[in-house]
Amino acid sequence: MSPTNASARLGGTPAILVVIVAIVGLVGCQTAPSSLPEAAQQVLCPELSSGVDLLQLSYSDDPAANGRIRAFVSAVRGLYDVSIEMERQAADACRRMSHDLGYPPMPADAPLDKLCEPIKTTVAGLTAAGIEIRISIAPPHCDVDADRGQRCGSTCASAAGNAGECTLLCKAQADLYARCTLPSVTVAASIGGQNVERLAHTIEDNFPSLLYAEIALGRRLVDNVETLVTTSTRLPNDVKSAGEHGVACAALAAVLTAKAAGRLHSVLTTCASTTATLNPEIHASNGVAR
Amino acid sequence: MTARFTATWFRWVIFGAAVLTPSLGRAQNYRELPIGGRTATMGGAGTAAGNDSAMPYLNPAGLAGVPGDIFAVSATAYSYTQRSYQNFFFPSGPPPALGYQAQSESFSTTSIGETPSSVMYFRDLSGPKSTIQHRVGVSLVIPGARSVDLVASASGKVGNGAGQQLETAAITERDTVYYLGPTYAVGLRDWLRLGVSLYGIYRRQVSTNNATLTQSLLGVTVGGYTGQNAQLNESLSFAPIVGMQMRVAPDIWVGLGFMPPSIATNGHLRASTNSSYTTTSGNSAQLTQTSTITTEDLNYSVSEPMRLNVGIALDHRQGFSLALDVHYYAAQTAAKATGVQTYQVQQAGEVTRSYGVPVSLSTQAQDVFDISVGAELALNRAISLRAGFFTDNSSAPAIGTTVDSLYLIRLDRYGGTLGLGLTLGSFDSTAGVVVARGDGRFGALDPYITKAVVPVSTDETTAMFVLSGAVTIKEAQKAIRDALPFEVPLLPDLGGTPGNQAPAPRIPSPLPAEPKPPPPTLGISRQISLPSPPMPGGPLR
Repeated sequence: MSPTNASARLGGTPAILVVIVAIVGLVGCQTAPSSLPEAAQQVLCPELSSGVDLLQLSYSDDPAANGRIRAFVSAVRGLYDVSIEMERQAADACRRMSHDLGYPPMPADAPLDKLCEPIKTTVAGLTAAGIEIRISIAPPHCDVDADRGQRCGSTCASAAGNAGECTLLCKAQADLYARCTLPSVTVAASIGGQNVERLAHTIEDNFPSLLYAEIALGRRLVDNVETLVTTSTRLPNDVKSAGEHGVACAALAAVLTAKAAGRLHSVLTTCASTTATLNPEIHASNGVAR
Repeated sequence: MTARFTATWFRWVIFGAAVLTPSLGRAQNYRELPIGGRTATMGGAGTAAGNDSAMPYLNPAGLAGVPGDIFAVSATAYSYTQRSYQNFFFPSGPPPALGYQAQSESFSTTSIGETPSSVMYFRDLSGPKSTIQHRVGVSLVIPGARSVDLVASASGKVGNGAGQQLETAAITERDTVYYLGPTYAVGLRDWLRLGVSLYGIYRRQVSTNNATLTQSLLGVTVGGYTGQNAQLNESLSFAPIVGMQMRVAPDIWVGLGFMPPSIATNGHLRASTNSSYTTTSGNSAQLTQTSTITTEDLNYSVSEPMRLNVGIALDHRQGFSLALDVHYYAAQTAAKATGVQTYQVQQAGEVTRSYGVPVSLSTQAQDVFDISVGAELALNRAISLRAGFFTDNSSAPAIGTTVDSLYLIRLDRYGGTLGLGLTLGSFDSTAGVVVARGDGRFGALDPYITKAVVPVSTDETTAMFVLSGAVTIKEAQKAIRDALPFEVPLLPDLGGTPGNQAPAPRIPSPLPAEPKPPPPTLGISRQISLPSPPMPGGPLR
């Protein structure tokens, strides 16, 4: 590529994208808190952090672009909230189990894998001593939010020529806002004793929340996360006709997608490794986890 | 020898009379504090198109333009005031007969204040698509707050160097007026807004004065005066404020606010004074001390004047806005006090005399015209620059030469404002600086030459740092929840969502747990049934 062509390509990129990429890149190189992108979000696309339903807001005067951006940012908002909720549920569960097992409290900002280390260590210790601990799981049932999906579909109707994307984004929203039952578990051990009983009690009491995070909020939504990540890579460039504000919202939503997907992957990994130590036996007859 | 100091007799008598007379309040400017956020940093010009926390007081109709449910606060976060008085101790110059030669003089009058100037909470009673918009709320507005701290001393030689004279004065004053009450505003489509506030007005003035004068000759005290006064004035009155804003052309608004004279209901003036003076008696050179204690508990009332403010504005919030206000305050009797002042006079070698004197005092306020001009330039959706100019003329009558004018100040003020407006999400905040300059007259005491009150020049410079913020109720709830170090359930919904828009959906909480699954199969032949846990959730198997 000649220098001339390179310049032309840079000139064709909306200035707002350059600013957003610069800000996000700057923060990505530092360990500073994420206040800067949040500030950028509030200045460039305050809708993303507003307390209102993003499906009812307008982001562009171009109806087609507006429909696509609206479906995307509202789905991203759902994914972001799910990732936060997932991390919170898992952290609470591990923190409570550590407390029940007699471990000292950990700092409020301790990472999830550290919080879940005590339960894994305890189970590993018992296993090494020849004691078998297993759990059986009744997985959660989920009912998708069909109304959400329909509302998204009706606002997305103006996105002519992108029906497929629209359908996937609206399905993602219906899945993200699904209502799910709490799983339940039953514990069995090859030997009794105070320590084993204490472990069994806290697992029966708290492990369902960890499973809820892993299954209902994590594994069930993996396909939707892929949909959003894929969309986030192309949408900001597809909607250049949306104007400065619309492009900014799409670009910032793409940043949030990456952030949420990263968090979701990390939490899912920790949850899965913790569950694996208990050699689970899943009773699918009790319900099908979606 | 003592004849040389005869003039001081008059000084002390006048001094005593002045200190013993209750003050009816001295702050007679109506626009001392910038109120609101955007309005404050636009020189106070908000009558025509303003919609911030200044509106309940300035023009209640502006509340119909508030987007959704709002909680707003504006504050003069810090203010610094410096004042000067020309010839405070010798307003007509040192008396030639006294042979006064100044040795030292110090004078300090600065004050620092922090005052919330307006707080309001407003609810939107109608949806954003409604043809008629209703807003109702409550507000506390403090349009006036004056703080004075004065400490001064002067010493010099008298009697051609044979004697010494020392004078000191310390004055503190706090004068604040509070407007508290409900407001209702209605907007018809996007062209007409009407509003009414009903305010209870509480005015509170606290002052203390302390003055001393000592003369000595050849190391012997030959006379002196000391006086202390403490006073509290409180009054309550009521007044409605009505207002209108109308869009007469695209982006052009006109507005009007009107407050009739407030109806004074009750109040009291409580003061206590202790003054004493020592003089040489005739040619005997014997010192004689006379002390007087007075107390007052008077009926006191203050009526706020009729106010009419009109404005016109080019209001283009995404671009350039310009606003002009004219404020008129009518002349009237501002304050009245009636009752009995009791005296207790003691003189060495004589019996104590006690008596009461009926007093009936009043102060007049004159007509005042003020203007405000402000401009705003929105750089983008989030950042605005603002500037303004305002006047704040005094309603006090001209400072005269009678004791009524003693220590009175008449200051005509004017100032400029600069501000930065930030809108982050639904949060609107303003930071600004207000600088005001006042020039006028002060009633100083001159017992030596004119034996009367002498108006002297005085000036005042105030710098104020203004902060204001407005936040939707949802944002406030979120901020509170995020700030708490522990998990809390949803806060009660005090106000719905901005503009009655549907709230953001929440990730649902888990539904009740699934039935317990059968126990897992262990790989080891021996399986232990664990006892039931003490907590809910069913027995372990």
